[in-house]
Amino acid sequence: MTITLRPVGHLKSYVKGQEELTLPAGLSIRETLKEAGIPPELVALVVVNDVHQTDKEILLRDGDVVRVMAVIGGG
Amino acid sequence: MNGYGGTILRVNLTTGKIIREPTTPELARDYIGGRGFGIYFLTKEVPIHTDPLGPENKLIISTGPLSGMLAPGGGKCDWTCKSPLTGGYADASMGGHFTAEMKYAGLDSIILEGRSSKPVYLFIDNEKVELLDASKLWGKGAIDTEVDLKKQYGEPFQIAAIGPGGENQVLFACINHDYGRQAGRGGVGAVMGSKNLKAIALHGTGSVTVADPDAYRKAGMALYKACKEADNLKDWTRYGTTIVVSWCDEVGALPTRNFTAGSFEGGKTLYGPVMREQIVITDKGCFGCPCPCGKYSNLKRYGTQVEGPEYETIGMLGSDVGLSDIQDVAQANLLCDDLGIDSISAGGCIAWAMEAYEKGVLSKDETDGLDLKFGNVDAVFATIRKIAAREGKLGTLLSEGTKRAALKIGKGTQDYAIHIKGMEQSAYAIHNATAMLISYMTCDVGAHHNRAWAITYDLQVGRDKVVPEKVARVIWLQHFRPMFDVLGGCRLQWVELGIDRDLYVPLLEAMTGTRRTWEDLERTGERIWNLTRLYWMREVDGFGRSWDQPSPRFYTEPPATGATAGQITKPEDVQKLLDMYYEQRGWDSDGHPKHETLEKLNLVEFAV
Amino acid sequence: MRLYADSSKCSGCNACRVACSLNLFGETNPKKAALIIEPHFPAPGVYNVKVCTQCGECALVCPAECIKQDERGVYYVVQEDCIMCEACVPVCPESVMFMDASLVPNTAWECDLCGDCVEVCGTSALWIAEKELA
Repeated sequence: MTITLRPVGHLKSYVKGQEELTLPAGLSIRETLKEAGIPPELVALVVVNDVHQTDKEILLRDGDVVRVMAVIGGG
Repeated sequence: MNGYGGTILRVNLTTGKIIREPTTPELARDYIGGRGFGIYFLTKEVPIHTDPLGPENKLIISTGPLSGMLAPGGGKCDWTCKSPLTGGYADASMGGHFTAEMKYAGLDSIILEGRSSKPVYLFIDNEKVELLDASKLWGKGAIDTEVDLKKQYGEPFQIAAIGPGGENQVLFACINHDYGRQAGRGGVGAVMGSKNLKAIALHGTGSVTVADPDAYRKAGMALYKACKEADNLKDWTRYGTTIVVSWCDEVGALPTRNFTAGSFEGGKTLYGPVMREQIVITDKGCFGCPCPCGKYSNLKRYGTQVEGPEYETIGMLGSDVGLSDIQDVAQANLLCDDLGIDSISAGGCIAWAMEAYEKGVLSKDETDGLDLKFGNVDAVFATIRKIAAREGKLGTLLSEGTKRAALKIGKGTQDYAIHIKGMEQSAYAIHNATAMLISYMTCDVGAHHNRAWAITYDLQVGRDKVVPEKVARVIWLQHFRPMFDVLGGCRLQWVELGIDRDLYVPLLEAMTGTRRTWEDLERTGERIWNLTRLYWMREVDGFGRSWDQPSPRFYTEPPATGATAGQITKPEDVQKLLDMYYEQRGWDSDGHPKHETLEKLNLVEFAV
Repeated sequence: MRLYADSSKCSGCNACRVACSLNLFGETNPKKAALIIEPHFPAPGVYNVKVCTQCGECALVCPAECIKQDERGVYYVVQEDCIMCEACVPVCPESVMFMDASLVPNTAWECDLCGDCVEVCGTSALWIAEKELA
């Protein structure tokens, strides 16, 4: 049971430039990010199966596709 | 002159005289455009110690090479003047379509001088320039003014207008354009109002020549391609700057109840996806922009429409005043836009007054009977109206900004007037974020985030770290980001989409015929930075280190709740950051540029 | 083949019109473009995009026969043959057929389906496809 994690832009630098990672399902978004080596507090936007999720505690399920972005430049 | 409009238009509102001067190659070479032209004319032409609301102040509107061109984000113009709010340098960047129209009318700068004896508006249709009677427009909201002028002259005319806030010279009055864009901060609208200038109606049908048309088209198309291929384009366009509301709440950067905390328990109903679902109808953008950040919204509860709210207004008129319903925040946004006052400063003033009221320092008599508690929607709307009208005890008090209001009331209220240099702080709480702290402290218009945004950087390096790298990063951002204000464009294509900024280099060269790398551009950025610093020094007696200090809230009052509960910057670290900053800038310990720095930057003639 | 527009995606940026004027006249001047963006603000708060549908009515009516079709069947104005009679302008069902002597002193103009507008549209509001059968 796995999920697909797609770090966008700058966050790729935390996963050696990988565009896509396969990670165990059943963890929260926060735990999944830690698992991938991405500091959760840097992630500003999480999109799970094309739906914007603002709660990093929700659990990810088998087959979920998760895009994550940081805001580097800001406002 | 390739890439430029070619003319500086001087409008003397006292005499009615209108003069056209050619933009000189030297001005373009050394100051490039936009904010660069603004500080040049401000420094050279506005007499020292001018009353900002007097006829000798000038309001300088400038385009840049990118304006109106085949360039993503070529839609911004810079408005520069001496600030009635702070007494120092002010500039505001306005999006929409005004800057493009200026370029097609052949204009690089419009310099508004003097004061009209009666309300007028400025009519520009290519070379036809007239000052016309505005008595029928005076008193109208900015939106109705734009509707009326477009009805009179046609949709192709671009309109910039003040509302009653500017007419009444509220010290943080703004200028409105395109039904939702502003030249917002520093009181630029008050300066326009002090000149009895209600609006500008602008139309230009010329073309802009470029040095190398083929290279220009190639470079422009490459920039659009890079924007369209950015992997977060659709996410960004969907939410605009509201994309960060949830994250700022999560990391303790969302200003809550007058910056007493960085997380808001009512925040979830302000988040981007909620707003998108409830009110947004159109993604509205500025000239040439492929990633429109404007979220034009329909408010069923109020029967109104507004462009917004964007992040700053959600922070300052939402969480900072305790409002948690996005429709209420949007309506407050509309009131500020139409009445013509800066939504950021308005929120900051109202939040200060709410804290003073809840502490029992401001009485109900002093709030004109309003129960000015955090979260009281009706009180927020009523206070915005009072401020714009300078009405009642509350409106009169707050129309001057929090610094003056707190000075007047005393009783410890100065400890929670959240401003720097007299400008209300924009919407990032900085209880424990030292790069963002030094950014706010040293921003050259006051407490604004536009020059250097470094919140993710703070999290990456360690929020409380006080290290030279953080200061170096802020200084670099202060040279780089405002160059978009000089170039007449927007920084958000680089800031948000992360496109390769080197793509601008061949475009600028093809347009102007002058090759500039980003190293060259940042050198101009550093010159301009020191120029605005010198301007403050000559205008404000005793200007220096004491004016770079943040609100004591950020080094004495750790939040009780939220992501930064219990965290606070140490007072000694505030000064340590400043010491590092001055040293890296080549300024002395009072924050004055040293002579060798001015020599290095070729600014000795401007020494104070 | 013709240009299509989804107005609900238009942000009013006018990049398409800049690209268009560059293509038709080699100039940066959106007023010389062959598509229109109509803003409807403050209410309802939307943009309406009008594009050439390649209907050919302009060519039918042109007395100088200077509106021709290229190898793709796309209509274009032979600029040097235009006599500025303006017969084509009122017959255009989309009101995107232009003649403005103050802007361009020697020709009418229209969309020649160069596709540059599609390339610069950041919201993908424009695309080129086969004409739908009537």
